[in-house]
Amino acid sequence: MTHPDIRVPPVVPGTRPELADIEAGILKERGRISLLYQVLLNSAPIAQGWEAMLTAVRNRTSVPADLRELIILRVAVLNEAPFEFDSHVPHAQRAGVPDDKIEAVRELALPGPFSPDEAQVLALTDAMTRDVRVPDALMQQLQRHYDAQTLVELVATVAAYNMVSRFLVALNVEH
Amino acid sequence: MNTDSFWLAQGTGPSPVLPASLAGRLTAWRALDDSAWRVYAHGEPPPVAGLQWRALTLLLDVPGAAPTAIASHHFVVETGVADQNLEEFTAWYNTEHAPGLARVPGTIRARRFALPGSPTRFLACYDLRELAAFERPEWLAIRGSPWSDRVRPMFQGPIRTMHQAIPFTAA
Repeated sequence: MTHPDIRVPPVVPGTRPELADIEAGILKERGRISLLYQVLLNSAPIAQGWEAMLTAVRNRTSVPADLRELIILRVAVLNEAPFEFDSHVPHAQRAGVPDDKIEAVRELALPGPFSPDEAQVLALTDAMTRDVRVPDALMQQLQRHYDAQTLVELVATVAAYNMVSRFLVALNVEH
Repeated sequence: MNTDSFWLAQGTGPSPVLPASLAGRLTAWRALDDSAWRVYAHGEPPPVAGLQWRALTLLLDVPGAAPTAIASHHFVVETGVADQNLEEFTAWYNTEHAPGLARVPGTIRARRFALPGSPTRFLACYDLRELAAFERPEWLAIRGSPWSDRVRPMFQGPIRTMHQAIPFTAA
């Protein structure tokens, strides 16, 4: 498959011997080398660092998987990154996010069918993604609700997927 | 392969199960009242169990005010029009109505299609980033224009349906 709109050539896995270790690491954590990683592989240090950071965010934190996937879908909607959205719908479903929430997260207006906990984390996602700054009142609610580790992990999840969507959009990485 | 072709499969009852691997090639919608579903393919459609594809003819494609946003809703107006009214109907749709609705904040795109095998039956499709776009004063103003008041009685058997997205499913 060719991707004429992507602004750098994706690296076909297995074609650059010097990338073998990095590709093996990506395969081990992800099960495949997605189009995003094929683009990242143009820079070995970035691909390696990205994989380490995103593996921590996705597979190593104490944030519940359904909450994490809601955050990711929301960032994709706000940053208009359909590749990120579509890629994460299956992850969200596997994490137990029901379809009505997957549909509702596309809407700009919140909270829709979300629980108070979900609405609070989505409000954090919206503030960080749209306004950069997080209002004190919202952060105080989050501080009462989460310990320091989880709060760091929630904020890092929003921040990391903003990085992902901005990278995808800037380089036109689409299906 | 014709990458500019558009295809439609539609039905009633439970929404089709669509694998996530097709997410970039298809868009899938179900009516808000769950009465019907529709799936579009842009480019040669993949074989999917339960989907029967019909080729659409693209008549108009207008980028909207939010052209890159992810769609949450899809509004479809299907209607017939009598031969003697076709010229005015087409002029109104292409110059005032569809471009006007495309300019409403929250509209992603407006498209018009001819349905196969029925030369005087047409689809107008609007991708919306939120349902609220449909209730905005700008949207209502376009719908309420003097030309709209003149053309709307020409619609024959119109069917207006608001849809929301069907999520693709994990393998």
